[in-house]
Amino acid sequence: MATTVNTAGYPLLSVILFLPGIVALFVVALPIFIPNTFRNDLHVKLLAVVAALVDFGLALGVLVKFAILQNGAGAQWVFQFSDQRSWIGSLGISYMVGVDGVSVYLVALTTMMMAIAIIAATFMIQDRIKPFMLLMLALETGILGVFTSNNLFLFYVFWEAMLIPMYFLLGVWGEERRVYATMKFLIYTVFGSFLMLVGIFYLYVKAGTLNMTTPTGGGLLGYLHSHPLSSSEQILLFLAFGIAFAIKLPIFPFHTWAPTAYSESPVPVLIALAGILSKAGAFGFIRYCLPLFPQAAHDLAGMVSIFAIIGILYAAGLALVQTDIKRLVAYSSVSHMNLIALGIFSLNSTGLTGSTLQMINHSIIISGLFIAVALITARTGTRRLTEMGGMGVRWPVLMWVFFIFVLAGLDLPGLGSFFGEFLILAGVFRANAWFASIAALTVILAAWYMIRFFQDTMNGPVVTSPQQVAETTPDARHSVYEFPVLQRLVNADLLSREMILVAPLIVLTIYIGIRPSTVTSRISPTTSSEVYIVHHRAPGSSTGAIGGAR
Amino acid sequence: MDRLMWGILLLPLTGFLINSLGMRLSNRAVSLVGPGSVLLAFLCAVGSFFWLQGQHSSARHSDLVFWNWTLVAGQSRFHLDFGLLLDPLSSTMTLVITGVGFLILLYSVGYMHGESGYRRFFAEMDLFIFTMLLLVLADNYLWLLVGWAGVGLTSYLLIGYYFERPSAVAAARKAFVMNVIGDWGIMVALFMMLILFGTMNFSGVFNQVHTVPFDGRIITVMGLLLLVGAVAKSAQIPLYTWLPDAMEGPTPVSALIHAATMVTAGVYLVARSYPIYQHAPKALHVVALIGAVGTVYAAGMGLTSNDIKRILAYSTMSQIAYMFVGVGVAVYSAGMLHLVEHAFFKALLFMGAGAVMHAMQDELDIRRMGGLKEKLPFTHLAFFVGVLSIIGTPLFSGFSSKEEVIGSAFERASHGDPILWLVWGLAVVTALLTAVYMFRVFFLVFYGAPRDQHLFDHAHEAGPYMRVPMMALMALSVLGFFLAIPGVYNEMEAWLSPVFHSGYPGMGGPAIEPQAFSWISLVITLLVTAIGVFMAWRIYYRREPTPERVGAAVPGLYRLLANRYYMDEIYDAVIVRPIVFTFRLTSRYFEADLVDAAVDGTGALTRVLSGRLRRVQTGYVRNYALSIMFGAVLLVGYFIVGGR
Repeated sequence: MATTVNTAGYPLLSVILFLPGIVALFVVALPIFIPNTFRNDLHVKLLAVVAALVDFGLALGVLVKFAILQNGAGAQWVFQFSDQRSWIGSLGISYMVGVDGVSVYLVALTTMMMAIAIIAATFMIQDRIKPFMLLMLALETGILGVFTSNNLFLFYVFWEAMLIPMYFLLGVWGEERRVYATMKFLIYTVFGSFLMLVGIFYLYVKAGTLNMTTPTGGGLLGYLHSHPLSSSEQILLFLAFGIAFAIKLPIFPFHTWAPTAYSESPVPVLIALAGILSKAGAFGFIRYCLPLFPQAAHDLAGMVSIFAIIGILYAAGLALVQTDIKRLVAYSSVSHMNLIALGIFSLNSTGLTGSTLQMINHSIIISGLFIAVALITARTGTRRLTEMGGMGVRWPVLMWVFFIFVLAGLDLPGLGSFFGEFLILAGVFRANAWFASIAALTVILAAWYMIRFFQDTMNGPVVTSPQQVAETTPDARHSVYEFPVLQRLVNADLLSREMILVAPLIVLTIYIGIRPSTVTSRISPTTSSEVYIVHHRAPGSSTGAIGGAR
Repeated sequence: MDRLMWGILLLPLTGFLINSLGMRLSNRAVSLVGPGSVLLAFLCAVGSFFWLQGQHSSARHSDLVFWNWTLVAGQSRFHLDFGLLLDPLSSTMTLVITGVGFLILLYSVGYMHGESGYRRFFAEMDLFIFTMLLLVLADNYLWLLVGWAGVGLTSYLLIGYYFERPSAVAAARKAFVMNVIGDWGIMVALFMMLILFGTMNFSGVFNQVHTVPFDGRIITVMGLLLLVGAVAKSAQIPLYTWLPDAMEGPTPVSALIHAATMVTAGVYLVARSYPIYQHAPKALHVVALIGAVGTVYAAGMGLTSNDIKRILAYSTMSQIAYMFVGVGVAVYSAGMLHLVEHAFFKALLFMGAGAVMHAMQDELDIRRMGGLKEKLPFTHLAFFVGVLSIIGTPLFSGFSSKEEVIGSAFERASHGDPILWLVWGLAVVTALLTAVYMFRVFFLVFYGAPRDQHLFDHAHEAGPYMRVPMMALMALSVLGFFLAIPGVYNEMEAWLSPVFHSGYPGMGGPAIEPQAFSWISLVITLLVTAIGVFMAWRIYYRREPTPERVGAAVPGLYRLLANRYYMDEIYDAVIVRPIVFTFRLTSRYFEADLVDAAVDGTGALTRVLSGRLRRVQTGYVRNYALSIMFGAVLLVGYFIVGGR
């Protein structure tokens, strides 16, 4: 069932996984032995940037070397670059990492986005930069662990581990209401993780192993294939896992932590949180919920889809009436993530491939939009739409850069995000035409709120915000880049260091728009084999509200 | 051949890239690159036109597939072959787009002289030409949609060219969002094609159309969904309100995008999708009816408006409605003929209006003009040619195409399709109205006494960059007549017949060309048009009765028309405001007080419950980390003890 190909001579994936964390430990540990090292913030910044870039380079190498397997309709679910070591032998828990066509992109995406986030932090974070960088590196290892682990226990360890740096990043470097936002984030995720832990224990007690697959066809998937869980067991376990993932995604109505947490986060943290962490939820559904509990996936697909559709339109509608631009982008993110969830629950490879492609696109767009928000607030000192206007006259390059992200955000046909959205909706249409037609209405709302967002900031008569008028000097105590108007930025169009952040994102979104098939060629063999598992392991597969179609 | 097709498409793109990225280009360089790249594309289009002409009529197409996308491999294959399709239909469109486009860009060199954002203007115009060419050259619906959205985007950018002006910003937003409604329709239609036929390529879809029931629900829905897109792009009822507002853009933009090319894309879409509509006669009837009602509806607004560009916008809507009638009665070549001829005379009319505005310091209100014939003899002549064409005077271009459209409706109606009598009747009434409102503009602007002496005194004729393209279009407006002479010959029909008679299997529906020619319809239309001209002459030239008295005779109707049927207000009150209001309430109360409060309540509860732990640990984070641990330990305990 699962074969391993493309094993590098050395554990490349493990190197990628632990490199950032080890660098962080190194920075912590070295001053203990050699005093006075890393006193200079610049050294820490430099080391963090280099580590992140090297990691990105290695991940890119994995992506390039990843074999595109044209194995047709078979059930081959292939993990590449696998690395397995015994870990807690007595409990049958081993250290096992590997990537399939979905996670190979998420690994590359994570390393790229973290590199951008760390570069952004070098000039956007002024306060306590050293711990910030260390936490970001630790976070990177945590997220990479989630995407690469092939053992449920290991997955859970990383799942929890990535949240710890996130709590601190949000709680210490956040904006005014950071404590409230962190608490809310915490309650939600702890609630979710707790249920998942219960599920994992149940599976462990039942199957005696937590390895997803082994080269010999064993592991959890093999076990569940020969000893199917009962229908009610599946549904309860699906919910135990699914709620954790639904919260992270976030699917309506579990989304309310997101706008609060997003609007209180500094931008580098946001790139990690909205850009990557939300994908962990979608990834969880694809990797664990669907293949492990195929019957439940069928039975619950209709219900989840309805929640996702409500979420898509509801969040888009709320984005339309926001006056705080950061919250506006946050709601647009929620809307897009619900579309990704909808694609997953189409339970066919078109929808799943679209969802995976859209995860990449969404990460690019949302990071770009949040960076744009940061660039705008750095110049105007405000996040309120009513205090903005006519910025394009003053900062034309900023306007056009922002415009490209706006277009990607409204899924303009021809840009990368359109093909993701199109595949998702085409997959959903295959499963349920009404669902797709209604969900597709979001393009109208998205066009509306995105264009409103763009025009109210960049077009119209020039509005000078009160902060600009007051000529507030940078508040040294305030940790955040955003609120004080930075005087040297007020008269400057996009700076080159700001250009470095957005340029790769723009190039990528245009590239995916021109050649989406290069991306999907790696994804679709994996999604096809998953869909095969879902449909062939689920007895009575046509009973689900949305099931049956493939 | 391949090189020519690439040239058509990529030269304007190159122009766009040079003009958009060349931050230091001088205005002279910009005005060379902008129109120059389109001129080269036009030469390529002419070359490929002659290549097509040289082919045998059955082989008059070239499908250049150059991109194979396998988006999803395996069982549910999602495969797309992307290519450029050159056949008589797309060749006709490329000639219009690049030819008229070049003339308008040349005119822009004079018209936009001295504007700030000169480079931006030409970059965006070149991008528009590129996306429009992509729309017509695509050999599949997905690329068509990409071009479709691209022209919507460039239209948005150019309507909002003066982006400091709130009215332009609002108009641009309206146009964009309404066009996206159309994109939605096309997108859902594409999903249907994908499920039913497994492809989105034109030939693939059209060869399989017969596999779904004739005139059944599926094909009708597909036709109507495509029509949603066509209606939104072509500003037809009910998605038309953006077009008058789009006149906020510079006049060359109105001429190119909102008259000659982009707004006619809906007609192209219906003509291109004719096998679908042939299979869905009900949907085709809807096309014809929307068109017929639209002709009168728009002409009514044209009668009462006082803004010279808006009047032309309403006339555009009305003329495109004629094209819808043409394709709606399954005489696709008539619709296309009107599309081409309309591009000539409407671009000319807009250029004339631009020259008038140029002379009158950007004045738009025709009530402040008058007597300009004396000051602007050339513009007067150009405008006169445009007016004669649009009302369908023999020997001018609008005549042949309009007669083809109206005559086809007459033929169809008299051969057993009685509902089309209504279509024919409305089309004939519009012929009268068109004559009235076009001569109204003509007389009010160029004749009578000057109503604003100051503006009049400073009026001056436009420069050569503006006059040369107008001369070219005047020539085309006359020569267009010879494309077809009703009852004698029809070059357009012959040229397009390989497209519309390409023999896809199982083609049902009405015959694609009318069988006979009717003198009755021709004579009635001409008569009615003459009456219209006479009425306009009495009211607006002789002023007996005066226009005020005519308006006062039917006060209710006049108010209705002058307020554009209150449709802007109705849409605002019925759709826009309720949506915004609902979500504002939701944001304020539901999201904040219900969904969020439930969570905050849980938080508060957790805080109370963890009150004991708090004595030990204070920080929130550690506090909760401890609860995870505690819970985990309990669970492990449970499973170890009780689970076995």
